[in-house]
Amino acid sequence: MNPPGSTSIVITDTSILINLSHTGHLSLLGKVVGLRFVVPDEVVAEVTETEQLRILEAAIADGSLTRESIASPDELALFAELSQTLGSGESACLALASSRGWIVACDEKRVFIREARSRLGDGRILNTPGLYVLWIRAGILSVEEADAAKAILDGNRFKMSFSSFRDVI
Amino acid sequence: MGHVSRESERGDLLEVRANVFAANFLMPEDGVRQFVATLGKGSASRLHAEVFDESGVVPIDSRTAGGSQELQIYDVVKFSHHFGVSVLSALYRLMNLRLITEKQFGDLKQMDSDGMSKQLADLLGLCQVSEVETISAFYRRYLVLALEAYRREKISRRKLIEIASKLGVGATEIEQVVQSLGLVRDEPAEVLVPTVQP
Repeated sequence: MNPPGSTSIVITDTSILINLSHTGHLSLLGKVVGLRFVVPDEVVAEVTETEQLRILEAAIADGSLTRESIASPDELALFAELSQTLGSGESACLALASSRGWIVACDEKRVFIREARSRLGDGRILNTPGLYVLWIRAGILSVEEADAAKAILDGNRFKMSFSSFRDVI
Repeated sequence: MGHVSRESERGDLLEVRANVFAANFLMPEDGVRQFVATLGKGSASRLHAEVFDESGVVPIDSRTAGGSQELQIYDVVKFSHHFGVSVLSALYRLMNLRLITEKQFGDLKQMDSDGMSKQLADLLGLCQVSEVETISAFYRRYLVLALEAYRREKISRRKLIEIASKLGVGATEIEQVVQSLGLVRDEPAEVLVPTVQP
């Protein structure tokens, strides 16, 4: 747990941005107390669909998200290493989270999640279901609103392992 | 193969790596050297051997006729037909394996540009593989390899999308292929919340 009043930084992958653009909840990222969400340049470059890009740019403009860049040779080296098996956005997220002690937010499974767990441990990973749990706990969304978002994501081939957020909060 | 993509993209590291990969894949070194040997080419100009008989070892030195080992444009045309690659791809591969010099490469490339290799291919009754066909063949093979790497969890979904995009295949298209082939069955997402949360 963080000391009271402190803020953890969460670096956000494309998969999260796309899921939240489907549900219309991207702007809620800025409302989680104690977490500040950032997005690497490589992730911004991966968002190419016009409407998703518009939503992303709006989130950056209103401060829900802040852009970050790879800034040191070590980070670049790690990015290059990860890029052999991961996409650019994923690699940038993991390189920055790994070198700066940040949390990574990503909905990718298999290779990515294995790599993230090995480099960051389970305690520094957040995904879309986890975000909804945080928003419900913070009173930002109701269970019903979160379940409605879950249904939208289900229609976009993002399945969750539970039938209602009521079961997991 | 040194050239499966446009020359203007050769500076791109990924392109270079893809080209090297393709060259090794389409024109393996052993196969290249064997083929060149069947043409009676590719030997060193000076050869040394030691022959054993009852009286001992007899050293033998020989020298090939000047220029006899040099690959000619018709050799390269046969080579490119054999490996199913373009003449230009063949030339890059031969140069990278030091079977032709940079000077020879330049001369042979010029002959190819002048249409000589096409004329020779017609003359020899060989169907010359165009650069476009080479690229298509390479892309197909590379895409299949990428799908297989994804299935075996060697690369991530986003990496697959990235590779597909380099090959001109859109994200939606490749995701549909993955779905329709049933390549992976992702488990539904659990809740992941960081323990360092406030």
